[in-house]
Amino acid sequence: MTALLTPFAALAQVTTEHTFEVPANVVFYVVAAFMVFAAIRVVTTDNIVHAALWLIVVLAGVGLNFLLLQAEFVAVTQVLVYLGAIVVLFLFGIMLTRAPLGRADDLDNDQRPIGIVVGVLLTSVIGFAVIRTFGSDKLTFEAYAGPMAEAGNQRTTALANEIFGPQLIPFEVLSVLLTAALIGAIVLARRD
Amino acid sequence: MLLNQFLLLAAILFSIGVYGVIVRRNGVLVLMSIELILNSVNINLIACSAPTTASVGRCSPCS
Repeated sequence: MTALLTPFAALAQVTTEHTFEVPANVVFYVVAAFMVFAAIRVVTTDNIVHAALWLIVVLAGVGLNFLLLQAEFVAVTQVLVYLGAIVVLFLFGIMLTRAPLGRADDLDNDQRPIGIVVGVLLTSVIGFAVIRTFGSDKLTFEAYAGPMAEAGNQRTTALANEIFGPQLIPFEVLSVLLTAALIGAIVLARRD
Repeated sequence: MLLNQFLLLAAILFSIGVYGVIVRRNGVLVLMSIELILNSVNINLIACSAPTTASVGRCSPCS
């Protein structure tokens, strides 16, 4: 009888523990499957607009991954910047250039075997290295009650302290670099 | 959750992006593949800064 009940005891222990391990894992694997499928569609579809729309799925999945990793600020930034700006920028770029809007047969070159070999090799090498290095390292999160709880804001506070403290000079250098790139793009685009 | 599952997802996305860069001929599609690569790197950074309170991507084989 005890042997029969052992799995249920383990289940009861899991459900009574205040953890979000199991639902987080379920959400992760569902989102990961969607992301991989959408990424493959991005690089294989023969319609540029469809590729941009599949890219939305990948970027939203990345945002959900950030939420799972309890990086709320980065997740919101991901949605604002990537879903709100970059995808719209891609769509405008497609419309304003001479890219073919419908189906097109000449989107790929003839290097598909090389691409597949390189992709599989990269996946296996990186995967082997990651599994070898990190093994079964667990992420240690504390669950927190409510969105404004102290533990919830801790990571955003730490991020702000890090950016505007020790990393201030790289941050400013990046700002100047982006401004320089913007001015350079304007200069290149003007045909005077 | 394991740290590995995020890193492996990022590795798969990275490889798909590299495949796209190699295979695609259109410039906009190459840029989209580069976006895939950049996003996988972002997942890596966030995942590696998750277990500790330090928020910079210090990806060291820790505990």
